[in-house]
Amino acid sequence: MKNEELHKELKEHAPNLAQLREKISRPVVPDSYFLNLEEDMLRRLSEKGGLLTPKSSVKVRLYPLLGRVAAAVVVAGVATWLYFSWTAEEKSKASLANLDVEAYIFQHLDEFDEDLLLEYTSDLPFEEAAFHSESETSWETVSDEELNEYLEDVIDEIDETTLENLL
Amino acid sequence: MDRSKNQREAAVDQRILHLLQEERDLDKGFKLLMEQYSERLYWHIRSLVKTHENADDVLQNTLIKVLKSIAGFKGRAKLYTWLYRIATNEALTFLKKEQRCHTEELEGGNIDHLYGLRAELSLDGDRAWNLLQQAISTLPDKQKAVFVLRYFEELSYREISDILGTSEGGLKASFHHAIKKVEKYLREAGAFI
Repeated sequence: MKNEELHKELKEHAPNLAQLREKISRPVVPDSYFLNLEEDMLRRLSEKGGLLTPKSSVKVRLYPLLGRVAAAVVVAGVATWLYFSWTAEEKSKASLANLDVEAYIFQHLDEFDEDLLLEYTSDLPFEEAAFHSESETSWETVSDEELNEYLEDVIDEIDETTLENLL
Repeated sequence: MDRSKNQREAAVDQRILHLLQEERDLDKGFKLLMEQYSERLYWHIRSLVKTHENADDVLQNTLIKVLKSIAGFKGRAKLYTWLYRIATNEALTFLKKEQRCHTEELEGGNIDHLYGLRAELSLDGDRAWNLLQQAISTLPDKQKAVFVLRYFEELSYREISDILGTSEGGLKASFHHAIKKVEKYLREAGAFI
C-alpha cells in the first residue's frame, strides 16, 4: 500500500528515480556485523561506566530524586517550625492585651518592685499613668468608710505636711 | 495483514519499553531492542552517512543515546518514531562535523580525494547506490532526512512528520524538491543513459 503510493508519486514527479529504485541493491555489510554488534555495544557500554549495570543505573535515577525529596522535607520542616514558633509568639503577645497586663499588675501590685512600676508608668501619658485603670479603681467607687479605714491604716506613715495637704 | 503486523510491533515495542525501564531487566530490554531495530536503524543511518564505518559509529552512538534517555521516554510518540528521530539527528550531526573537516581540507588545497571518489565510483559494481549517496549528500539536511525516510524506508508523510516534527504539507514540498534535485544530479552524472 505504502509502496504503491510512493511509486505513483515518484512516477509522476521523478520517473527516472522510480526506475532506479528497482535497480538499487544495498551494499554489503561485513559478515556477522549485526551478530557482533550486540557484543560490541555491551563492551562499549561497560567502558562508558556501565549503562546496563542496574546498580549504577539505580544510583543515576534515584539520587537526584532522593536529593529532591530530602531537600523538600528539610524546607517543609524549617518552614513549619518557623510558622509555629512565630504564631505562638504572636499569639502570646496578642493575648497579653494592655488591659490584661494592667489588670494583672493591679492584682499583684504588692509583688512588683517600686522602680519597675515607675518605669512602666513613665512610658504612659501622665493622665493615663495616674488613672489608667480608672474604670476598675475609680475613686468614685471607694466609699467613705473604706477611705477612712485606709487612712487609719496608713496614718502613722504619712508625714504632717502631706496630711495637711490631703485634708 | 498490515493491522496485525502493526499490533504485533506495538506489543514488542511495549515489551522493550517495559524491560528497558525496569532496572533488573535492562540488558534483556537492550537485547530485544537490538534484535528488533538495529538493522532497520543501521540502513537508515547508512543511507545518510554513506560508509559502513560511519554508519556503525553513528548507530552505536544512537543506541547509547537511546539507553541514556529511555527513562525520560513518556510514550507519547511510538518507539520506532523516537528511535528514528534520534538516529536521524545523530547522522545529521555526524555529517555536519564531517563537512566541517572536508571544508578545512579543501581550504588547505587538498581536493584530489573528490576526483578519486568519482573514479572509484565508476569502477564500483553497485553504482546506483553510490551515485544516489552522492546525490543525497548534496541536499540540505531536512531534504536529506525526508528523502531517505520516504525513498528508502517507505514511511508515510504522517510517520515522517512524527519523526521530524514538521507538517505533512512541508514534508511533501521538501520531498518533491529533493527528488527533483537528486534526479538532476543523477542525470548529469550519466546514471540514466
